[in-house]
Amino acid sequence: MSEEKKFFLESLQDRETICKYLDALKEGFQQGRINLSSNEQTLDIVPSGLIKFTIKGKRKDGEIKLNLRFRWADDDNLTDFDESWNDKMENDSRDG
Amino acid sequence: MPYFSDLEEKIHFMVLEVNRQLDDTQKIIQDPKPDLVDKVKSRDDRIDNYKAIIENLCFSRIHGEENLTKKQVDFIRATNIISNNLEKISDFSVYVVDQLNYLSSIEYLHNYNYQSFFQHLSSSLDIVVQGLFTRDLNHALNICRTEFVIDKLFKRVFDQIIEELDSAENKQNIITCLFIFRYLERMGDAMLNIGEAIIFSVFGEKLKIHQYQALVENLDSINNDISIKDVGFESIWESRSGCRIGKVMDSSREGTQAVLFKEGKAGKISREKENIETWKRIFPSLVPKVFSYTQSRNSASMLLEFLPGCSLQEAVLSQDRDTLENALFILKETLSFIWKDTLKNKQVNSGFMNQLAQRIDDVLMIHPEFNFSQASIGSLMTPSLEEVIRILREVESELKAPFCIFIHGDFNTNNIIYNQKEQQIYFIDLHRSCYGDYVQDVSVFLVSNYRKPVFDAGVRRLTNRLNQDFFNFSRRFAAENADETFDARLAMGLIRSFFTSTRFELNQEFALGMYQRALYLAEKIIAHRGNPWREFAMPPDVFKYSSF
Repeated sequence: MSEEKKFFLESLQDRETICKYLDALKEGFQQGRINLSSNEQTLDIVPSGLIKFTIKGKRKDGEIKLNLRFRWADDDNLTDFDESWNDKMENDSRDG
Repeated sequence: MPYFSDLEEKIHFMVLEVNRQLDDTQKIIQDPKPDLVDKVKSRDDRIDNYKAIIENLCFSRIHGEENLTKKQVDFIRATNIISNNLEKISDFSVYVVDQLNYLSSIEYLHNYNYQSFFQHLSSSLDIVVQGLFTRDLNHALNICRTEFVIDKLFKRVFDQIIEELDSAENKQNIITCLFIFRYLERMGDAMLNIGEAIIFSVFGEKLKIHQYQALVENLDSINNDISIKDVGFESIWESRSGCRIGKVMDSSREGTQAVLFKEGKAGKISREKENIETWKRIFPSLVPKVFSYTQSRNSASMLLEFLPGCSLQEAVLSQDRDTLENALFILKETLSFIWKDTLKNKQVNSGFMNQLAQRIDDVLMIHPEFNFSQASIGSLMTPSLEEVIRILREVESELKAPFCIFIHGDFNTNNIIYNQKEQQIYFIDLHRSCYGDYVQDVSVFLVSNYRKPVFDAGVRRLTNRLNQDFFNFSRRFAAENADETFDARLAMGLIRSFFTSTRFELNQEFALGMYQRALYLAEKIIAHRGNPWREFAMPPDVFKYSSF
């Protein structure tokens, strides 16, 4: 099983400062690379291919929640899968 | 107290056994006979057994079905403490006997005055039972004094041993002697606990012997004709600062006024006394009267006027809106007067970051996860905690209060008393009062409302309103007095108070909320650097609680 890597940052912000974080993420998506790092962990992620994007809003008991979620397949794993597929295909063709 | 005859009987026997234990230990030191050594060891088992029986009796009585009075419960608790300490004395006797094996000759021990130790311990044990059963304070005090005497005896032996150590041929012997006397000295400590347990059974409050003596001295100095036995002592709280505060009443007479007894470190108590005198000159009815003051080498104590009323915090918690509104009105009137009257046109450092730095280790000990390193999200960098504090220190050196005011110094709502009948506000706990930045009082006030771990929506609505109102009032004062950097300094004060308040808060989520507020403000301050501080605007809502 591959090693799980995590980055976590939680803070209080306001509209103005939230934009700084969203800008940084936007810039990362544009460049195709987002680096998340702290002393404990560094996570270099490459958004590519199809990305499932969910926006979830909720208002309940005087509290509002807005979830933004981006999910996509990790490139590294995709490569492994491709290589094994390719190997198999080559073998199949030799057999043929 | 015949009601507890079973318990009384057992503790009586236990005291007698421990006295025999001491007696035999002394005999062994004089002449170590093996059968006597066996006797001491087997008696120790018996004494352990007594301790277990007494503990069972105590707990089963306390948790039994009967409705015991507080006095009866106090007696049981005192008996249990005494039994624990008697058992310790017996253990120490065994340790002394064991140590004798390491002496090449018992004669070594005879060079020192061990007899006096046993004599004092034994005569002290003789009065334990009577002291406990008759609630005799004189006996209790004599028992406590034994520790003092034993300490002196130990010091003498210790000095003798240190002097002899250089020239001693057999150092093991002399060090073994030191160990033995150390056990005898610890028996004295156990006697002190026994004496204090009897004082506890009389007062129903745990008073250390020096606190008891200070109380008696203070009562004597105000020519009070009440007997110490008639004094009712009710602990108000043991504050985090280590001061002992209690309400003292004459329980023999009805309708007599209570006084407040405060005991703690000499520096702190004497500072408070001086500050009360300063406050008296500024606003005579604002602070309690000092009836008496006594000071020993390290500690001091005083009797203060007991101020009737409720604290502002209690007014908030009871959700009595009218009371709170009245209290707030009078508080603002009072502060307006004090702030105007004591304002001096002298710039002053707020010192928030120093206060924060002094407490940071305490915070991180409770919440190690609050220490964070530098992080980045793409091109956005967030500094480490260490870096945040370093920058804030630099900011603070640029931010001076334009004037100083005589401030309370620990202006949390617990220290503000409101008397509805007299329509008066009182300040208490004044050892930190000084000429300083009034924003310190404002920020402590706001955070003291916030940090109360009460999550009732009604109470929270009230504290939020109270905070907003107090903030508006303070900000108006700042504007009237051309204090242009009020908002920025208040942010610094809130950073300090939110951050350091987490060291008393084990509710992880609540502590995290305060910590994040501190960091949010810190980020705002850091982002504002380079612009004039008069343009910094306090982000609204930061001192208002929200439950997300």
